[in-house]
Amino acid sequence: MKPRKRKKRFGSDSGQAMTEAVIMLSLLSFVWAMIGFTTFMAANGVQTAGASRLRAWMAGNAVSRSGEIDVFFFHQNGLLMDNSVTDRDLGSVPGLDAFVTAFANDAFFTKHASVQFGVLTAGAGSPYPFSFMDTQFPFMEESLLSGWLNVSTDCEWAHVNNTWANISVAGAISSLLGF
Amino acid sequence: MKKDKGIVFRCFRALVSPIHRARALHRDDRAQVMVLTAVMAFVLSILAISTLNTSTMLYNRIRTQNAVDAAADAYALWQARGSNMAQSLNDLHFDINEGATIAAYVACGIRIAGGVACVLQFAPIVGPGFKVACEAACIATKITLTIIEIAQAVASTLILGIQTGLNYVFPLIGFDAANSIAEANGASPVLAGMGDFIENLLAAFGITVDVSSVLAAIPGANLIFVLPLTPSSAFSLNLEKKDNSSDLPAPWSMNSTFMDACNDIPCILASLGRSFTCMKSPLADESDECGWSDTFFTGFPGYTTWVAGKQSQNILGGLTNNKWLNPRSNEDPDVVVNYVNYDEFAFNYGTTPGSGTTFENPGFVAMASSQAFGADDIAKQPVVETSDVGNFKWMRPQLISVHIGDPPSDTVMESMLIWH
Repeated sequence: MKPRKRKKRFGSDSGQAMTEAVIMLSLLSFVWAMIGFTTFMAANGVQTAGASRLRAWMAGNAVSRSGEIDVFFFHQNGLLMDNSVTDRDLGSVPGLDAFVTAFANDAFFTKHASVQFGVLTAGAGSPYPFSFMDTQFPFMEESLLSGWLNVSTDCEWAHVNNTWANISVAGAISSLLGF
Repeated sequence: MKKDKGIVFRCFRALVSPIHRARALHRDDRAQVMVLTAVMAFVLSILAISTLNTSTMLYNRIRTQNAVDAAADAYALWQARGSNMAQSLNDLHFDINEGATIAAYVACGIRIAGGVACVLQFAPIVGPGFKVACEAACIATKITLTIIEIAQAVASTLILGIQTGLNYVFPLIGFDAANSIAEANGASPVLAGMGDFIENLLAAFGITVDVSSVLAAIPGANLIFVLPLTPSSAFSLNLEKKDNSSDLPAPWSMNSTFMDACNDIPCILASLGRSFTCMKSPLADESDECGWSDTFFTGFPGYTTWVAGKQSQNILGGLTNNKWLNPRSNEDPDVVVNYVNYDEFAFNYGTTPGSGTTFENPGFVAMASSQAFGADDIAKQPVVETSDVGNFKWMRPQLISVHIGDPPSDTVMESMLIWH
Protein backbone atom coordinates (compact mmCIF):
# COMPACT_ATOMS: atom_id res chain seq x y z
CA MET A 1 0.00 0.00 0.00
CA LYS A 2 1.32 3.26 -0.96
CA PRO A 3 1.77 5.72 1.88
CA ARG A 4 -0.72 8.52 1.86
CA LYS A 5 0.64 11.61 0.32
CA ARG A 6 0.98 14.41 2.83
CA LYS A 7 -1.13 17.40 2.12
CA LYS A 8 0.89 20.36 1.05
CA ARG A 9 1.02 23.19 3.62
CA PHE A 10 1.02 25.82 0.93
CA GLY A 11 -2.65 25.52 0.38
CA SER A 12 -3.51 26.20 4.01
CA ASP A 13 -3.81 29.56 5.81
CA SER A 14 -3.40 28.07 9.26
CA GLY A 15 -0.74 29.97 11.19
CA GLN A 16 -0.82 32.82 8.75
CA ALA A 17 -2.46 35.24 11.16
CA MET A 18 -0.18 34.13 13.94
CA THR A 19 2.90 34.74 11.85
CA GLU A 20 1.69 38.15 10.82
CA ALA A 21 0.73 38.98 14.38
CA VAL A 22 4.17 38.05 15.64
CA ILE A 23 5.83 40.22 13.06
CA MET A 24 3.52 43.16 13.40
CA LEU A 25 3.17 43.02 17.16
CA SER A 26 6.92 43.32 17.45
CA LEU A 27 6.72 46.29 15.11
CA LEU A 28 3.88 47.78 17.12
CA SER A 29 5.78 47.18 20.32
CA PHE A 30 8.75 48.97 18.88
CA VAL A 31 6.58 51.90 17.75
CA TRP A 32 4.86 51.97 21.12
CA ALA A 33 8.18 51.93 22.99
CA MET A 34 9.57 54.72 20.84
CA ILE A 35 6.43 56.78 21.33
CA GLY A 36 6.54 56.17 25.05
CA PHE A 37 10.19 57.11 25.31
CA THR A 38 9.80 60.16 23.10
CA THR A 39 6.81 61.50 25.00
CA PHE A 40 8.65 60.76 28.24
CA MET A 41 11.58 62.86 27.07
CA ALA A 42 9.26 65.54 25.67
CA ALA A 43 7.57 65.84 29.05
CA ASN A 44 10.94 66.07 30.72
CA GLY A 45 11.98 68.67 28.18
CA VAL A 46 9.01 70.79 29.20
CA GLN A 47 9.99 70.26 32.81
CA THR A 48 13.53 71.47 32.14
CA ALA A 49 12.05 74.77 30.93
CA GLY A 50 10.42 75.29 34.31
CA ALA A 51 13.36 73.88 36.21
CA SER A 52 15.89 76.13 34.51
CA ARG A 53 13.68 79.10 35.29
CA LEU A 54 13.58 78.21 38.97
CA ARG A 55 17.31 77.52 39.00
CA ALA A 56 18.13 80.86 37.36
CA TRP A 57 15.66 82.68 39.57
CA MET A 58 17.16 81.13 42.68
CA ALA A 59 20.66 82.10 41.56
CA GLY A 60 19.54 85.66 40.84
CA ASN A 61 17.93 85.89 44.25
CA ALA A 62 20.84 84.15 46.01
CA VAL A 63 18.61 81.32 47.19
CA SER A 64 20.50 78.11 47.74
CA ARG A 65 18.02 75.32 47.23
CA SER A 66 19.41 73.99 44.01
CA GLY A 67 19.28 70.41 45.20
CA GLU A 68 15.50 70.50 45.22
CA ILE A 69 15.25 71.06 41.49
CA ASP A 70 15.39 67.30 41.05
CA VAL A 71 12.48 66.75 43.41
CA PHE A 72 10.39 69.65 42.26
CA PHE A 73 10.33 68.95 38.57
CA PHE A 74 11.20 65.39 37.69
CA HIS A 75 9.43 62.22 38.61
CA GLN A 76 12.62 60.27 38.27
CA ASN A 77 15.34 61.45 40.59
CA GLY A 78 19.05 61.13 40.06
CA LEU A 79 19.00 61.85 36.34
CA LEU A 80 19.86 65.51 36.54
CA MET A 81 23.04 65.73 34.51
CA ASP A 82 23.49 69.47 34.74
CA ASN A 83 22.16 71.84 37.33
CA SER A 84 24.76 74.55 37.10
CA VAL A 85 24.81 78.31 37.10
CA THR A 86 27.44 80.47 35.47
CA ASP A 87 27.90 84.21 35.67
CA ARG A 88 27.63 86.31 32.57
CA ASP A 89 28.37 89.95 32.01
CA LEU A 90 25.77 92.19 30.54
CA GLY A 91 28.42 93.14 28.08
CA SER A 92 26.39 94.94 25.49
CA VAL A 93 26.81 98.43 26.91
CA PRO A 94 30.39 99.73 26.61
CA GLY A 95 31.92 100.43 29.98
CA LEU A 96 28.96 99.08 31.90
CA ASP A 97 30.85 96.23 33.48
CA ALA A 98 33.47 98.59 34.93
CA PHE A 99 30.66 100.79 36.11
CA VAL A 100 28.88 97.94 37.83
CA THR A 101 32.07 96.62 39.32
CA ALA A 102 33.00 100.01 40.71
CA PHE A 103 29.63 100.80 42.18
CA ALA A 104 28.51 97.53 43.58
CA ASN A 105 31.35 95.06 43.45
CA ASP A 106 29.12 93.02 41.19
CA ALA A 107 31.12 92.17 38.13
CA PHE A 108 28.61 89.66 36.82
CA PHE A 109 25.17 90.76 36.03
CA THR A 110 23.35 87.70 34.75
CA LYS A 111 22.97 84.26 36.21
CA HIS A 112 22.88 81.70 33.44
CA ALA A 113 21.33 78.43 34.58
CA SER A 114 21.42 75.19 32.67
CA VAL A 115 19.31 72.17 33.52
CA GLN A 116 19.87 68.92 31.67
CA PHE A 117 17.96 65.72 32.29
CA GLY A 118 18.81 62.26 31.05
CA VAL A 119 21.99 60.31 30.37
CA LEU A 120 24.91 60.79 28.02
CA THR A 121 25.16 57.20 26.83
CA ALA A 122 22.73 54.37 27.27
CA GLY A 123 24.10 51.16 28.66
CA ALA A 124 23.00 48.06 30.45
CA GLY A 125 23.50 49.81 33.76
CA SER A 126 21.50 52.85 32.81
CA PRO A 127 18.33 53.52 34.75
CA TYR A 128 14.96 52.74 33.25
CA PRO A 129 13.92 53.62 30.58
CA PHE A 130 17.36 54.45 29.25
CA SER A 131 18.46 50.87 29.65
CA PHE A 132 16.11 50.01 26.78
CA MET A 133 17.95 52.43 24.59
CA ASP A 134 21.14 50.40 24.69
CA THR A 135 20.82 49.38 21.10
CA GLN A 136 22.02 50.35 17.71
CA PHE A 137 20.33 49.62 14.46
CA PRO A 138 22.22 48.83 11.31
CA PHE A 139 23.53 51.89 9.53
CA MET A 140 22.55 54.06 12.51
CA GLU A 141 25.16 56.49 13.70
CA GLU A 142 25.85 56.57 17.40
CA SER A 143 25.44 60.31 17.51
CA LEU A 144 21.84 59.90 16.38
CA LEU A 145 20.92 58.07 19.54
CA SER A 146 22.78 60.37 21.88
CA GLY A 147 20.52 63.21 20.86
CA TRP A 148 17.56 61.26 22.19
CA LEU A 149 18.99 60.54 25.58
CA ASN A 150 18.86 63.91 27.25
CA VAL A 151 17.00 67.18 27.17
CA SER A 152 18.17 70.55 28.41
CA THR A 153 17.06 74.14 28.70
CA ASP A 154 18.93 77.29 29.63
CA CYS A 155 17.49 80.27 31.40
CA GLU A 156 18.95 83.57 32.53
CA TRP A 157 17.96 85.80 35.38
CA ALA A 158 19.40 89.08 36.52
CA HIS A 159 21.33 89.26 39.76
CA VAL A 160 18.30 90.82 41.43
CA ASN A 161 19.59 90.09 44.90
CA ASN A 162 22.00 92.99 44.58
CA THR A 163 19.95 96.16 44.25
CA TRP A 164 22.79 98.36 45.47
CA ALA A 165 20.82 99.00 48.61
CA ASN A 166 23.98 99.76 50.54
CA ILE A 167 25.85 101.50 47.81
CA SER A 168 28.46 104.01 48.87
CA VAL A 169 28.59 106.80 46.36
CA ALA A 170 31.79 108.24 47.76
CA GLY A 171 33.50 104.85 47.64
CA ALA A 172 32.23 104.20 44.16
CA ILE A 173 33.47 107.52 42.86
CA SER A 174 36.88 106.94 44.38
CA SER A 175 36.96 103.46 42.79
CA LEU A 176 36.04 104.91 39.43
CA LEU A 177 38.71 107.57 39.68
CA GLY A 178 41.26 105.02 40.83
CA PHE A 179 42.12 106.24 44.29
CA MET B 1 -10.48 14.88 -12.86
CA LYS B 2 -10.69 18.59 -12.80
CA LYS B 3 -8.20 20.13 -15.02
CA ASP B 4 -6.00 22.75 -13.45
CA LYS B 5 -6.18 25.83 -15.55
CA GLY B 6 -2.85 27.06 -14.31
CA ILE B 7 -1.61 30.08 -12.46
CA VAL B 8 -1.44 32.18 -15.57
CA PHE B 9 -5.11 31.69 -16.24
CA ARG B 10 -6.12 32.47 -12.68
CA CYS B 11 -4.08 35.63 -12.59
CA PHE B 12 -5.43 36.74 -15.90
CA ARG B 13 -8.98 36.11 -14.74
CA ALA B 14 -8.38 37.99 -11.51
CA LEU B 15 -6.98 40.92 -13.37
CA VAL B 16 -9.53 41.25 -16.10
CA SER B 17 -12.55 40.34 -14.08
CA PRO B 18 -13.43 42.53 -11.13
CA ILE B 19 -15.95 40.04 -9.93
CA HIS B 20 -13.46 37.24 -9.84
CA ARG B 21 -10.90 39.48 -8.21
CA ALA B 22 -13.34 40.51 -5.52
CA ARG B 23 -14.27 36.89 -4.86
CA ALA B 24 -10.62 35.97 -4.63
CA LEU B 25 -9.90 38.72 -2.15
CA HIS B 26 -12.95 37.79 -0.14
CA ARG B 27 -11.67 34.25 0.25
CA ASP B 28 -8.09 35.31 1.02
CA ASP B 29 -7.41 35.90 4.73
CA ARG B 30 -3.72 36.54 4.34
CA ALA B 31 -2.13 39.86 5.46
CA GLN B 32 -5.22 41.06 7.30
CA VAL B 33 -3.30 41.49 10.55
CA MET B 34 -0.63 43.31 8.68
CA VAL B 35 -3.11 45.80 7.30
CA LEU B 36 -4.68 46.33 10.70
CA THR B 37 -1.29 46.79 12.29
CA ALA B 38 -0.23 49.29 9.67
CA VAL B 39 -3.37 51.30 10.33
CA MET B 40 -2.72 51.13 14.03
CA ALA B 41 0.90 52.20 13.61
CA PHE B 42 -0.21 55.15 11.50
CA VAL B 43 -2.79 56.24 14.04
CA LEU B 44 -0.25 55.88 16.83
CA SER B 45 2.24 57.95 14.89
CA ILE B 46 -0.30 60.73 14.42
CA LEU B 47 -1.10 60.64 18.12
CA ALA B 48 2.61 60.75 18.95
CA ILE B 49 3.20 63.71 16.65
CA SER B 50 0.24 65.51 18.17
CA THR B 51 1.61 64.85 21.62
CA LEU B 52 5.02 66.13 20.68
CA ASN B 53 3.53 69.23 19.13
CA THR B 54 1.53 69.85 22.27
CA SER B 55 4.73 69.48 24.25
CA THR B 56 6.44 71.93 21.91
CA MET B 57 3.64 74.44 22.37
CA LEU B 58 3.77 74.06 26.13
CA TYR B 59 7.54 74.39 26.05
CA ASN B 60 7.33 77.53 23.93
CA ARG B 61 4.68 78.97 26.20
CA ILE B 62 6.85 78.45 29.28
CA ARG B 63 9.93 79.82 27.54
CA THR B 64 8.01 82.91 26.43
CA GLN B 65 6.82 83.57 29.94
CA ASN B 66 10.30 82.94 31.28
CA ALA B 67 11.70 85.47 28.84
CA VAL B 68 9.30 88.26 29.68
CA ASP B 69 9.37 87.61 33.43
CA ALA B 70 13.17 87.65 33.52
CA ALA B 71 13.20 90.78 31.36
CA ALA B 72 10.71 92.57 33.60
CA ASP B 73 12.67 91.57 36.67
CA ALA B 74 15.93 92.77 35.10
CA TYR B 75 14.40 96.14 34.31
CA ALA B 76 13.01 96.45 37.84
CA LEU B 77 16.49 95.65 39.11
CA TRP B 78 17.93 98.64 37.30
CA GLN B 79 15.02 100.76 38.45
CA ALA B 80 15.94 99.78 41.99
CA ARG B 81 19.64 100.35 41.39
CA GLY B 82 19.02 103.76 39.85
CA SER B 83 16.70 104.71 42.68
CA ASN B 84 19.19 103.52 45.25
CA MET B 85 21.90 105.52 43.61
CA ALA B 86 19.67 108.59 43.52
CA GLN B 87 18.90 108.01 47.18
CA SER B 88 22.59 107.65 48.00
CA LEU B 89 23.26 110.91 46.20
CA ASN B 90 20.48 112.51 48.23
CA ASP B 91 22.21 111.19 51.31
CA LEU B 92 25.54 112.56 50.13
CA HIS B 93 23.88 115.85 49.26
CA PHE B 94 22.34 115.97 52.71
CA ASP B 95 25.69 115.25 54.35
CA ILE B 96 27.44 117.97 52.33
CA ASN B 97 24.76 120.51 53.22
CA GLU B 98 24.95 119.47 56.81
CA GLY B 99 28.72 119.88 56.81
CA ALA B 100 28.39 123.26 55.13
CA THR B 101 25.86 124.35 57.73
CA ILE B 102 28.08 123.33 60.61
CA ALA B 103 31.03 125.05 58.98
CA ALA B 104 28.98 128.21 58.50
CA TYR B 105 27.94 128.19 62.17
CA VAL B 106 31.56 127.74 63.22
CA ALA B 107 32.63 130.57 60.93
CA CYS B 108 29.92 132.75 62.42
CA GLY B 109 31.10 131.89 65.89
CA ILE B 110 34.60 132.96 64.97
CA ARG B 111 33.22 136.10 63.49
CA ILE B 112 31.24 136.94 66.61
CA ALA B 113 34.39 136.38 68.63
CA GLY B 114 36.08 138.76 66.25
CA GLY B 115 33.28 141.20 67.07
CA VAL B 116 34.48 141.26 70.66
CA ALA B 117 37.88 142.26 69.38
CA CYS B 118 36.18 144.95 67.36
CA VAL B 119 34.63 146.42 70.51
CA LEU B 120 37.98 146.29 72.24
CA GLN B 121 39.66 148.24 69.45
CA PHE B 122 38.71 151.42 71.32
CA ALA B 123 40.53 150.33 74.42
CA PRO B 124 43.57 152.40 75.27
CA ILE B 125 47.01 151.08 74.43
CA VAL B 126 45.89 147.67 73.20
CA GLY B 127 43.18 149.11 70.95
CA PRO B 128 45.19 149.11 67.71
CA GLY B 129 46.05 145.46 68.20
CA PHE B 130 42.39 144.52 68.64
CA LYS B 131 41.52 146.57 65.58
CA VAL B 132 43.89 144.49 63.49
CA ALA B 133 42.46 141.32 64.99
CA CYS B 134 38.94 142.59 64.37
CA GLU B 135 39.55 143.29 60.71
CA ALA B 136 41.46 140.05 60.22
CA ALA B 137 38.62 138.06 61.75
CA CYS B 138 36.16 139.95 59.61
CA ILE B 139 38.01 139.22 56.37
CA ALA B 140 38.84 135.62 57.28
CA THR B 141 35.30 134.70 58.18
CA LYS B 142 33.93 136.50 55.14
CA ILE B 143 36.27 134.47 52.92
CA THR B 144 35.42 131.30 54.83
CA LEU B 145 31.69 131.83 54.45
CA THR B 146 32.15 132.56 50.77
CA ILE B 147 34.14 129.37 50.27
CA ILE B 148 31.49 127.40 52.15
CA GLU B 149 28.76 128.81 49.97
CA ILE B 150 30.68 128.18 46.77
CA ALA B 151 31.52 124.62 47.84
CA GLN B 152 27.93 123.92 48.76
CA ALA B 153 26.68 125.36 45.49
CA VAL B 154 29.20 123.40 43.40
CA ALA B 155 28.47 120.14 45.19
CA SER B 156 24.74 120.68 44.89
CA THR B 157 24.99 121.47 41.19
CA LEU B 158 27.11 118.40 40.54
CA ILE B 159 24.89 116.04 42.51
CA LEU B 160 21.68 117.35 40.99
CA GLY B 161 23.29 117.07 37.55
CA ILE B 162 24.31 113.46 38.15
CA GLN B 163 20.81 112.66 39.39
CA THR B 164 19.30 114.28 36.31
CA GLY B 165 21.48 112.04 34.16
CA LEU B 166 20.87 108.80 35.99
CA ASN B 167 17.15 109.50 35.82
CA TYR B 168 17.44 108.70 32.12
CA VAL B 169 20.59 106.55 31.94
CA PHE B 170 19.46 103.78 34.25
CA PRO B 171 16.26 103.08 32.29
CA LEU B 172 18.41 102.70 29.18
CA ILE B 173 20.67 100.23 30.95
CA GLY B 174 17.58 98.49 32.26
CA PHE B 175 16.10 98.19 28.79
CA ASP B 176 19.36 96.79 27.46
CA ALA B 177 19.46 94.29 30.31
CA ALA B 178 15.82 93.29 29.76
CA ASN B 179 16.38 92.92 26.04
CA SER B 180 19.54 90.86 26.50
CA ILE B 181 17.87 88.51 28.96
CA ALA B 182 14.75 88.13 26.82
CA GLU B 183 16.91 87.10 23.88
CA ALA B 184 18.91 84.68 26.01
CA ASN B 185 15.67 83.10 27.18
CA GLY B 186 14.46 82.39 23.68
CA ALA B 187 12.22 85.32 22.82
CA SER B 188 11.74 86.17 19.16
CA PRO B 189 12.21 89.66 17.66
CA VAL B 190 9.19 91.38 19.02
CA LEU B 191 8.55 93.96 16.31
CA ALA B 192 8.08 91.38 13.57
CA GLY B 193 5.69 89.46 15.73
CA MET B 194 3.78 92.55 16.73
CA GLY B 195 3.48 93.45 13.06
CA ASP B 196 1.85 90.13 12.33
CA PHE B 197 -0.41 90.56 15.29
CA ILE B 198 -1.51 94.04 14.21
CA GLU B 199 -2.11 92.82 10.67
CA ASN B 200 -4.33 90.05 11.95
CA LEU B 201 -6.19 92.47 14.15
CA LEU B 202 -6.79 94.94 11.32
CA ALA B 203 -7.76 92.16 8.96
CA ALA B 204 -10.64 91.36 11.27
CA PHE B 205 -12.05 94.77 10.35
CA GLY B 206 -11.35 94.33 6.69
CA ILE B 207 -8.25 96.51 6.68
CA THR B 208 -5.22 95.14 4.89
CA VAL B 209 -1.99 96.86 5.87
CA ASP B 210 1.53 95.50 5.58
CA VAL B 211 2.60 96.46 9.07
CA SER B 212 5.17 93.75 9.56
CA SER B 213 7.25 94.89 6.57
CA VAL B 214 7.22 98.46 7.83
CA LEU B 215 8.30 97.38 11.31
CA ALA B 216 10.88 94.97 9.94
CA ALA B 217 12.43 97.82 7.94
CA ILE B 218 13.20 99.74 11.10
CA PRO B 219 16.97 99.59 11.67
CA GLY B 220 17.76 97.19 14.46
CA ALA B 221 14.26 95.76 14.53
CA ASN B 222 15.66 92.27 14.75
CA LEU B 223 17.62 93.24 17.84
CA ILE B 224 14.61 94.12 19.96
CA PHE B 225 13.16 91.19 21.88
CA VAL B 226 11.02 92.87 24.49
CA LEU B 227 8.92 96.02 24.48
CA PRO B 228 7.55 98.17 27.28
CA LEU B 229 3.82 98.82 27.19
CA THR B 230 4.16 101.64 29.71
CA PRO B 231 6.63 104.03 28.12
CA SER B 232 6.29 106.67 30.84
CA SER B 233 8.03 104.43 33.32
CA ALA B 234 10.25 102.72 30.78
CA PHE B 235 12.38 105.69 29.82
CA SER B 236 12.67 107.53 33.10
CA LEU B 237 12.94 106.78 36.79
CA ASN B 238 10.34 109.52 37.26
CA LEU B 239 12.60 111.41 39.61
CA GLU B 240 11.83 115.09 39.97
CA LYS B 241 13.27 117.94 41.94
CA LYS B 242 11.38 118.61 45.09
CA ASP B 243 9.27 121.71 44.79
CA ASN B 244 11.25 124.32 46.71
CA SER B 245 8.69 127.09 46.59
CA SER B 246 8.90 127.08 50.34
CA ASP B 247 12.31 126.70 51.87
CA LEU B 248 13.12 123.22 53.04
CA PRO B 249 14.37 122.83 56.58
CA ALA B 250 18.06 122.85 57.37
CA PRO B 251 20.42 121.71 56.12
CA TRP B 252 18.67 121.88 52.74
CA SER B 253 18.34 125.60 53.28
CA MET B 254 20.51 128.03 55.15
CA ASN B 255 18.65 130.99 56.59
CA SER B 256 19.69 134.06 54.63
CA THR B 257 18.80 136.44 57.45
CA PHE B 258 21.13 134.58 59.76
CA MET B 259 23.89 134.54 57.18
CA ASP B 260 23.45 138.22 56.43
CA ALA B 261 23.53 139.03 60.10
CA CYS B 262 26.54 136.80 60.50
CA ASN B 263 28.18 138.65 57.66
CA ASP B 264 27.24 142.13 58.67
CA ILE B 265 26.80 142.62 62.39
CA PRO B 266 30.35 141.95 63.61
CA CYS B 267 31.75 143.97 60.78
CA ILE B 268 29.36 146.82 61.51
CA LEU B 269 30.71 146.73 64.97
CA ALA B 270 34.19 146.58 63.55
CA SER B 271 33.88 149.63 61.38
CA LEU B 272 31.20 151.45 63.29
CA GLY B 273 29.02 152.17 60.36
CA ARG B 274 31.18 150.84 57.59
CA SER B 275 28.96 149.06 55.15
CA PHE B 276 29.80 145.49 54.21
CA THR B 277 28.30 143.79 51.22
CA CYS B 278 27.76 140.07 51.33
CA MET B 279 30.40 138.16 49.36
CA LYS B 280 28.05 135.80 47.59
CA SER B 281 28.79 132.67 45.66
CA PRO B 282 28.26 133.15 41.92
CA LEU B 283 26.44 129.76 41.83
CA ALA B 284 24.01 130.69 44.57
CA ASP B 285 20.33 130.82 43.85
CA GLU B 286 19.65 134.34 44.96
CA SER B 287 22.37 136.84 44.28
CA ASP B 288 21.28 139.38 46.81
CA GLU B 289 21.17 137.10 49.80
CA CYS B 290 23.64 134.91 51.57
CA GLY B 291 22.84 131.30 52.50
CA TRP B 292 21.24 128.72 50.22
CA SER B 293 17.90 127.29 49.34
CA ASP B 294 18.71 123.82 48.05
CA THR B 295 16.58 121.00 46.72
CA PHE B 296 16.80 117.27 46.13
CA PHE B 297 15.37 114.63 43.84
CA THR B 298 12.42 112.54 44.82
CA GLY B 299 10.19 110.15 42.92
CA PHE B 300 8.67 106.77 42.37
CA PRO B 301 9.67 104.75 39.31
CA GLY B 302 6.30 103.08 38.96
CA TYR B 303 5.54 99.73 37.50
CA THR B 304 6.33 98.74 33.95
CA THR B 305 4.57 96.19 31.80
CA TRP B 306 6.58 94.29 29.22
CA VAL B 307 5.64 92.15 26.29
CA ALA B 308 7.69 89.49 24.54
CA GLY B 309 6.82 86.67 22.22
CA LYS B 310 7.93 83.56 20.50
CA GLN B 311 7.26 83.08 16.86
CA SER B 312 5.36 80.16 15.48
CA GLN B 313 7.21 77.07 14.38
CA ASN B 314 6.52 74.40 11.86
CA ILE B 315 4.99 71.39 13.45
CA LEU B 316 6.96 68.22 13.80
CA GLY B 317 6.68 65.25 11.53
CA GLY B 318 6.77 67.03 8.21
CA LEU B 319 3.06 67.66 8.28
CA THR B 320 3.47 71.31 7.47
CA ASN B 321 1.64 71.25 4.20
CA ASN B 322 -0.94 68.58 4.86
CA LYS B 323 -4.11 70.47 4.22
CA TRP B 324 -6.30 67.82 5.69
CA LEU B 325 -4.62 68.42 9.02
CA ASN B 326 -5.01 72.16 8.70
CA PRO B 327 -8.38 73.14 10.11
CA ARG B 328 -8.18 76.54 8.47
CA SER B 329 -7.31 75.38 5.01
CA ASN B 330 -10.90 74.83 3.97
CA GLU B 331 -12.27 78.03 5.35
CA ASP B 332 -14.03 80.40 3.07
CA PRO B 333 -11.70 83.38 2.58
CA ASP B 334 -14.70 85.66 2.66
CA VAL B 335 -15.74 84.49 6.08
CA VAL B 336 -14.68 86.87 8.81
CA VAL B 337 -12.50 85.01 11.21
CA ASN B 338 -13.08 85.42 14.89
CA TYR B 339 -9.80 86.94 15.92
CA VAL B 340 -10.60 86.78 19.61
CA ASN B 341 -9.50 83.18 19.71
CA TYR B 342 -6.43 82.64 21.80
CA ASP B 343 -4.48 81.32 18.86
CA GLU B 344 -4.95 84.57 17.03
CA PHE B 345 -2.83 86.36 19.58
CA ALA B 346 0.10 84.29 18.49
CA PHE B 347 2.86 85.72 16.43
CA ASN B 348 2.81 84.92 12.78
CA TYR B 349 0.10 82.34 12.79
CA GLY B 350 1.11 81.74 9.25
CA THR B 351 -2.18 80.86 7.68
CA THR B 352 -4.29 83.18 5.67
CA PRO B 353 -7.86 81.91 5.81
CA GLY B 354 -8.52 79.82 2.77
CA SER B 355 -4.96 79.55 1.60
CA GLY B 356 -4.01 76.49 3.56
CA THR B 357 -0.38 77.29 3.16
CA THR B 358 0.98 76.18 6.48
CA PHE B 359 -0.09 74.66 9.73
CA GLU B 360 2.15 75.72 12.53
CA ASN B 361 2.57 75.53 16.20
CA PRO B 362 1.31 78.92 17.28
CA GLY B 363 3.65 81.47 18.72
CA PHE B 364 2.93 83.07 22.04
CA VAL B 365 2.79 86.53 23.47
CA ALA B 366 3.40 86.98 27.17
CA MET B 367 3.30 89.99 29.42
CA ALA B 368 4.69 90.73 32.84
CA SER B 369 4.82 93.76 35.10
CA SER B 370 7.44 94.68 37.60
CA GLN B 371 8.63 97.56 39.66
CA ALA B 372 10.90 98.62 42.44
CA PHE B 373 9.28 99.61 45.68
CA GLY B 374 10.19 100.85 49.11
CA ALA B 375 11.85 98.98 51.88
CA ASP B 376 8.77 97.86 53.75
CA ASP B 377 5.79 97.87 51.49
CA ILE B 378 4.56 99.30 48.29
CA ALA B 379 2.51 101.98 50.03
CA LYS B 380 5.65 103.77 51.04
CA GLN B 381 5.92 106.15 48.18
CA PRO B 382 7.94 107.79 46.87
CA VAL B 383 10.86 105.42 46.68
CA VAL B 384 13.49 108.13 46.60
CA GLU B 385 13.07 110.64 49.40
CA THR B 386 15.05 113.18 51.31
CA SER B 387 17.67 112.09 53.75
CA ASP B 388 16.87 113.10 57.27
CA VAL B 389 19.45 112.00 59.74
CA GLY B 390 17.03 112.62 62.58
CA ASN B 391 14.37 110.29 61.28
CA PHE B 392 16.41 108.10 58.98
CA LYS B 393 13.78 108.30 56.30
CA TRP B 394 15.93 106.36 53.90
CA MET B 395 13.63 104.64 51.49
CA ARG B 396 15.95 102.02 50.14
CA PRO B 397 14.30 100.66 47.02
CA GLN B 398 14.08 96.93 46.80
CA LEU B 399 12.90 94.78 44.00
CA ILE B 400 9.34 93.70 43.65
CA SER B 401 8.70 90.36 45.24
CA VAL B 402 8.57 87.69 42.61
CA HIS B 403 7.48 84.85 44.78
CA ILE B 404 4.84 83.91 47.25
CA GLY B 405 6.31 82.51 50.37
CA ASP B 406 9.80 82.83 51.69
CA PRO B 407 12.18 80.77 49.58
CA PRO B 408 14.89 80.30 52.20
CA SER B 409 12.37 78.90 54.63
CA ASP B 410 10.68 75.56 54.44
CA THR B 411 7.67 77.05 52.74
CA VAL B 412 6.97 75.48 49.42
CA MET B 413 7.43 77.96 46.63
CA GLU B 414 3.94 78.23 45.32
CA SER B 415 4.69 80.69 42.60
CA MET B 416 7.60 82.56 41.18
CA LEU B 417 5.58 84.61 38.80
CA ILE B 418 5.68 88.34 38.59
CA TRP B 419 2.42 90.10 37.86
CA HIS B 420 0.90 88.50 34.84
